[in-house]
Amino acid sequence: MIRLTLRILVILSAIGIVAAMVWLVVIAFPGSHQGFGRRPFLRHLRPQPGAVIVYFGKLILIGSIAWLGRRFLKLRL
Amino acid sequence: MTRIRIVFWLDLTLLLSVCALETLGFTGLVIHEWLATGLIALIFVHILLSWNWIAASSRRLLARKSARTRVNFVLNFCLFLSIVTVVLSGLMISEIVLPALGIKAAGGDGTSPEATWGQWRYVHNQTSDLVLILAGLHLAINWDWSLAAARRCLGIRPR
Repeated sequence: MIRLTLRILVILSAIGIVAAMVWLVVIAFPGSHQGFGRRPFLRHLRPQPGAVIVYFGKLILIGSIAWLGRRFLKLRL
Repeated sequence: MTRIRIVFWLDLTLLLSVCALETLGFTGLVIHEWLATGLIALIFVHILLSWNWIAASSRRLLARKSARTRVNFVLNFCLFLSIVTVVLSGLMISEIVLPALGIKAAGGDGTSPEATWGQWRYVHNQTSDLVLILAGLHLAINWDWSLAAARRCLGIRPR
C-alpha cells in the first residue's frame, strides 16, 4: 500500500512538474501576463514564479489532510 | 474509455485545478477566474457521475449501521455548500469574467462601495480555505477507491 501510494505521488509530482514547466514558459515569462483587473492593488495578483512552491505546498497539504483523515476515519468508522 | 477512467481523470483534474485556484499567485487573476468558471462545469459533471451514490446514500441516511455513509454524506454536503459559496462570492468580486461577458458584478464593477467588495472578498478567502480542508477530507474518505482507480488507470500491478 505504501509502495503504491509512493508511486502515485511520484506520478502526481511528474504531472505537477510538467504543469509547472508549461506555466513557467507560457505564463510567468516577463511580458506574457494578461492583465490584473481594474483595481490597482490587484496588480500583485499576476503570476509569480515563486508561487510554484506554494502550489506544491497546497497539493501536499491536501494530501496530508487526506492521509491523516483516512487514518482517523479508519479508527472511528 | 470506461466510466472509472473518466471519473479518475476528472477527479485528478479537479484536484490539480483546486490546488491551482487556491494559489492565486500561481495562476494570476485572469487564469484564476477563467479556470474557476471552467471548474463549475467539471464539478457539475462530477456530481452527475456520482448521482447514483447520492440518491442511494440519501435513502440510507437514517438506516442503522450507516455511520460511514452519514459522515460521508454530511462531508460532501458541506463541501458542496462551501464550493457554492466560493463560486458565488467569486462571481461577486469578479474583475475579469463577468465584465468580459458584459455582466456587471455586484462587487467588481468599480462603482460599488469598497466595503461590499471587501466583505465578499473576505467570504471568498475564508470559504476557499474551508474548501481546501474539506477537499482533503473528501479525498480521505474515498482514499481506497482513489487508490484502486489509480492502480487500474495507471496500469500499476498490485504486489
